[in-house]
Amino acid sequence: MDETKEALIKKYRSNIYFGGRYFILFGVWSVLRILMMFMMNREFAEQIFSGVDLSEIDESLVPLVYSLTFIIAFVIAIVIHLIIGVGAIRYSRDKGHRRFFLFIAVFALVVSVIFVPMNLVEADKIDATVIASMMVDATMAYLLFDMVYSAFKLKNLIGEGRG
Amino acid sequence: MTKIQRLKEIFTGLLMLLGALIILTEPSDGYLFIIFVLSVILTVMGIRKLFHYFTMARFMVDGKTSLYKGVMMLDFGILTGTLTDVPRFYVLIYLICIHAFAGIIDILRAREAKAYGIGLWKYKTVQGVIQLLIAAVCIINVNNPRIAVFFFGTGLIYSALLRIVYAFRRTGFVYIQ
Amino acid sequence: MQEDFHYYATYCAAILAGYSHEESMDISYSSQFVDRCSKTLLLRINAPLNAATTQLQLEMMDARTDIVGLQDITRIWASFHFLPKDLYAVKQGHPKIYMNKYRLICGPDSDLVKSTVENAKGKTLQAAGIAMHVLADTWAHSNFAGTPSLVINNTTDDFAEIVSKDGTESERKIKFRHSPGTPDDIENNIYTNSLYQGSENAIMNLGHGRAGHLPDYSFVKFKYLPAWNEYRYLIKDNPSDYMKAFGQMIYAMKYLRGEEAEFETGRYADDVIAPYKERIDAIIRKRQLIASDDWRDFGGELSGTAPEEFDETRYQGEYCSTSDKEATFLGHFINAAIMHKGMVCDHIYNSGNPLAGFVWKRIVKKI
Repeated sequence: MDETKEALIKKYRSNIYFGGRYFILFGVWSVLRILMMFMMNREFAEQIFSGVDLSEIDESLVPLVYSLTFIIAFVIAIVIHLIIGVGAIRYSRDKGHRRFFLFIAVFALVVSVIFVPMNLVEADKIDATVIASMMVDATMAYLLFDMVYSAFKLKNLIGEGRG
Repeated sequence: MTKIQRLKEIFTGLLMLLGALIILTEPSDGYLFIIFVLSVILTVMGIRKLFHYFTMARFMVDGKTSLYKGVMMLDFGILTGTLTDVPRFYVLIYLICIHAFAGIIDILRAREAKAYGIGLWKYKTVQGVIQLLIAAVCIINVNNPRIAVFFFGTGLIYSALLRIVYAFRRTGFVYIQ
Repeated sequence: MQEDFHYYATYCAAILAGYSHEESMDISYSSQFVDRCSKTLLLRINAPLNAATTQLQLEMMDARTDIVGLQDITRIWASFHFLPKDLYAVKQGHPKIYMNKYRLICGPDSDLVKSTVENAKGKTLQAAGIAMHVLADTWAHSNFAGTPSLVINNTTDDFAEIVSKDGTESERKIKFRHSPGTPDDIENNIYTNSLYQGSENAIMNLGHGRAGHLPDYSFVKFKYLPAWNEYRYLIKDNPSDYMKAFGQMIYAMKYLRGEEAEFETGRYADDVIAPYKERIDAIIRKRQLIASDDWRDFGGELSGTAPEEFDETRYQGEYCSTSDKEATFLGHFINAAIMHKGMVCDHIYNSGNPLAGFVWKRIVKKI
């Protein structure tokens, strides 16, 4: 195998590996972030549940409802990130040839791309937090794109070698 | 160091001394000031990481990690600045961790210095023990926010004085022809 | 490189270049002293601190990594241990801030090594010794830079030794651990290296720390992935490089003695080495942590007198007790070190690179 091809294979594997690793970290960070904002920023906490009508639920159960909602949402988010992240890491190390994670990654990519301008649309005012959120979403979109692109290129390169 | 660089170092040191003065004389406002400073530090670290990525790390093997870390740090820094109800407990825990870590590093350096037979090990040991004592005092007084601002202010004064002293170091050297 | 090459092998090269035993001892002592002349030592003997040619581990741990501290570090390491190969290297699409560090990558047969040797011509034996140290290190430390830099000096953990058996080459994985006190296990391929540090200017990102002592072992041929080479592996053939270093030292010293009209890069005194090539090759390729005994024995055979063991304190008494310090052995060494450092830093500064700071030029006196 020539040097350039070997270098490219190494590069794409690395992109997929670190993409997977940091996608998991981004997922954990997003969950922690929302948790911190909810616990330490009263405005944010009030905003989250402002549109929800809890009048029919027994008052003593309201905290339980809040907690369960958050837990379920967080678990779903973490699971999606883990599927993509672990799948990418295994694929980069040649330990798994299943590319199921790529389909979910493409879906997550589309969602991330949509979320970037949505930050501006939904914000009451454009401040540093909005800009930071946009940056995080944009970076996640870039990460996913890089992962998918690298997987595609890697498949072509390895396919060339075998063919 | 050029004259401008020296002036910059001295100016930064004086600013830090002023900040320490504010913290030590107005503890209740100083508490919010700590949050603000932490936010600024984290934000600056994030921006620096991103600058490093765009100027250098993107050419490096596995350099994309700098981009991802930089964005997370920047987000964390900005987020810290928006937290209006940070329990004082968390700030103290943060300070305790920093002091304890610094103390452990100093003691490890002291052990290495002793192995080399260099007298510096005694100084480093004392420095490390002091850092660990500060951490211990913070743990004991975890419910007292005045302790947090006092130690943070003291740390700022120490760093400021060091910066000013280093600004007067000689640079450049004689070239024999 | 270690004491085996900087001291004993340099002694052998000096004898082969035609120097006497005493002259060779002075040259080889100066060459090895470059690895010992730290600010701590200079403080102890009350000598100028700007003559420092190395930094102790503890000095580096306490070194600041602001712009002034970085310049201090770069001046020493780029001048004496990682002489830059190409101060005017070009890489399309790379900003200056990156190129400043890239251009400090060390490599052999450079214009700077030519200037180093030419600068030592007509000067003291101490100047020759310093030049030999610098020259030898350009071979061992190639592809690393003498400035703290994550983007240049970092590597992945993917190291493999290339082993030849019956004419075919195979790879043996190299494992790293982070325990400086434990000697490298060369039989099981377990070596010590420095920990990954994510900060660009962290001290741990100076030189070849990420490759551990591998560049200093003459027997090992290995491949690894440096941070700067765009995912391309580099193969470091130490046996071949050390042989060339030895040959080039002989050629350089013949030039310094006046036996060669000029010093050209790419020449290695193959004719002088030829009768001893097998013997030298055997020493270089022998799998051992340090080859001092073998080089010392070889040196004894060449000169008829075994070279004395290196003693860092040998000339310190002389230096401390006299008022005319510049006439002493260490006085000559100090002047030569300052001269060489100034020359290298001047070149770096004139190439538009601020990483080694600037040099105040003052005509004082000739050495």
